[in-house]
Amino acid sequence: MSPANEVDPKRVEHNNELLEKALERNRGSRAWRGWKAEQAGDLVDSFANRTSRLQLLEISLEGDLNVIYSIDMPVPCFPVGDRLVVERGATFHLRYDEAWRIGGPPGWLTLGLLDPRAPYHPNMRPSLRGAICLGRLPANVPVGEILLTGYHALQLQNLVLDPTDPEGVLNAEACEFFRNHQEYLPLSRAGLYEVWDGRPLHAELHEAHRDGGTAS
Amino acid sequence: MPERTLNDWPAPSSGAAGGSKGGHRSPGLRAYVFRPRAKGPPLSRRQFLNLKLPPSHRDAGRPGAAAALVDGLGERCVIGFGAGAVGGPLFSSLAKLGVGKIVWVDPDRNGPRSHETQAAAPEDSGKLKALVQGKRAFASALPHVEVISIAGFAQDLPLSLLRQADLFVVAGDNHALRVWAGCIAQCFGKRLVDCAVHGNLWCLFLRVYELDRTDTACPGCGLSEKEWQSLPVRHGCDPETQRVSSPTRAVGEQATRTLPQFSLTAADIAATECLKCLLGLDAEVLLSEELSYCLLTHKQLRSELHRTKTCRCPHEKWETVDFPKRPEETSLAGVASHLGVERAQIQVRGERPWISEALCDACQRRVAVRRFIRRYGEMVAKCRCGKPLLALPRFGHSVLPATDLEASWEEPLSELGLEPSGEALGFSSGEGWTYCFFPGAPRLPRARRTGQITTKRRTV
Repeated sequence: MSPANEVDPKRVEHNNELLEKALERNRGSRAWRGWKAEQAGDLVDSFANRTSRLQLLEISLEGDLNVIYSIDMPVPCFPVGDRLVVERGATFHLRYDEAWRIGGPPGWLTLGLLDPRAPYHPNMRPSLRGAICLGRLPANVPVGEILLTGYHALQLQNLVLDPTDPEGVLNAEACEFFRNHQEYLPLSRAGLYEVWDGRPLHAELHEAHRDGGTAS
Repeated sequence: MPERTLNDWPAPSSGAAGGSKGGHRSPGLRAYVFRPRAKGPPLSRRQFLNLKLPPSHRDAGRPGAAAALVDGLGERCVIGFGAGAVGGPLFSSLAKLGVGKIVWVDPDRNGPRSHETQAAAPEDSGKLKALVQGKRAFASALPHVEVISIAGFAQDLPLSLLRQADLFVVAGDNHALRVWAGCIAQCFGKRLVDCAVHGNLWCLFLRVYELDRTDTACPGCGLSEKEWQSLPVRHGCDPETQRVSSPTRAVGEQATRTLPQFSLTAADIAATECLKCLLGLDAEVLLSEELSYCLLTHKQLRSELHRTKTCRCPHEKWETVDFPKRPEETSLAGVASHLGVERAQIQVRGERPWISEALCDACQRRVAVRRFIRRYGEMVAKCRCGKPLLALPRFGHSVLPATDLEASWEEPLSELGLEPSGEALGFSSGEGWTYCFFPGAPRLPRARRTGQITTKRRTV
C-alpha cells in the first residue's frame, strides 16, 4: 500500500463505528451471526481501513448481510456515438443471504451498482438496472471475494466478450462495442490497494501517444 | 453506432430485454397430477386381497405381508428428487408398494441415449423425465395411489408441499441437491434416503440420514472443503434463467453411464429401505449408516455416518404451526401474537424474495414497495408518473428489513404479496425459526395435459 493510498484515521474510526453499530444489531442463528460478524470485520480491516479508494457507507447485519460502499474507480457508461463515457466513482450494494452459504448465490444477485445509473457493460443487463453478473460463485464465497470480483469486472479487467459463450454476456450490444473498441480494455490496471490517478487507461495511453512517449 | 440511454431498454418482463445471454428460460414448476383411480380411503385388507393385480404384483409377497403394507402405507407421503436411472425405477417401486401419495421432481429431459441406461423408451427422447417416469409409476401403482410428478427444480417446491412428506428420497446426480434435500429434511424433521450408483466401481451406495434428530449426520457433513467449493451451481445469469434448464436436451451434470441393472438393483434396495422407514421398522433400517455394495465381488460394507462440527448446514429443525386465518384476514402483528413472538427481536422471512423499494427510471423517484415478489424483473407497482416499477435485485431481501417490518406490521398479509392459500411465513426471535402455514393447498402450476393422462383402468 502506498502512502498516498493510506486511510485517514478519522475514516478508520468512522468505519469501526459503523461496524460496531452493525454488530449490535446482528441477528439470526448463532452460526449465521458469527459468519456475518467475521465477514463484516474482514471487510472493514482488509478493505475499508486499508485503501482510501474504498469508502464504507452502510453495514447492516439485521437479516441478510447488506453493505453499501463506494470505490473511486472508472465506470463504463452509455457511449455517446463511438466514445465511451467513463464516469468516476461507483457505489455498490452487496447483499448476502444465509442460504448462499450452502447453495451458492446466483451470480447476478449479490452485487448491484447503485451509482452511476447508466452503466454500459457486457456483464450488466440494462433492464436489470445495475445488477452485475459475476459468473458462477461457489457456496460460502467470502464477501471480500465478491467485492474484488465486482471491482475487477466493472473496470473491465475481467470480462467475457464472446456472445456465443453460454456463460457469456448479458448485454450483447456492449459486448460488440468493446470488441470493436479494445482500447477501453481495461479501463484501469490499478488494483484496489493501488493508487489510481483518476484517469482512465485509454486517456493515459492517448496522451502518452500524443506526447511521443510510453505510458507506464 | 446509434446513441442509446438506459431508459431505452425494455423491462425484462416484456420479453425483449437487451441481452443475448445463453441458456433458456427456466421452466418453473409444472405439475402432472395423476389422480387415484379408487376414490375414498385406502383399500381395506379384503379389498386389497381381491384386487386384480397385474402379473408383476402377483408374487409381491405373502398375502399377510401385502395387507400389512396397505395398512401402513396408504396414508403416507414420499417426496423424491431425481427421476433418472435410479430415481425412475424407485418412483415406480414405491407406487407399486402402495404409498398413498408420491411426489417426484426432476427438471431434466431424456437424452437420445437415455433409454440405454434408464427406464425409458427410445421414443421418450426429449420428453420430460418427470412426465415419463410419472406415467410409468402411475401405470404400475395400486389404485389408491396419488402420483404427482413435477418438472422443475426441487428448490422451487412450495414449503407446504414439502411439509406433507413422511420421507424424502434423493436420487439426484449432484451434491448440491443432496445437501439441499438434507437441509429441508432436517428442517421438517424427516428422514432422508439417498441412493446412488458408481458405474466405474460397479458399486451402489445407500445412505439413510436420520434427520428427525438434529445431532446426526446430514449429507453436508460428508463433504470436504474441496467438494463444497465444487458444488455444482445451476444458476443462469439473470432472473429469467435463474435455474438453467434446456427445453431440448438432458441437462444433468452428466449422462448416466452405469449399466442399467446396477441402477435397478440400487432402486430396489432403496425402495426396501424406504419401506422399512415408512413402516417404522427402525431396528432394521440403516439409520445414519452407509451401505456400499459391490456388484462385481458382492462384497458389502456398512459404515456409520458421523456429524461433523464444521458442516455448514444449519442442522436446525423448524417449528411448524397451522395458522387458522387466511392471509387477507390477518397481519404480521396477528401472526406474531398467535405465535407469542416478541416484536422487538422478531425476524420474518417468506418463501419468496421481498422487495423493499423500486426506482422509477423516468422520474428517478424511489418508491417504497414492501411486498413479496414471484421473481426479479416483474412489475410490482406503478409510479406516480405512470411508468411501471420493477422488482430489481438490488432492492431484494430474503429477511424483511426492520424498517419494512415496522411499516408493514399492521398491513393485511395479502397486501404484502402473500398467496391466498398454502404459503408459509417464517418467524424467529433468536435461534430457531417457526414456520406458519396458512390454510389451503399449495399453488402448483399445472401442466396443460393434467388430468388427461390416463392409463388402463383396473377394477377393484
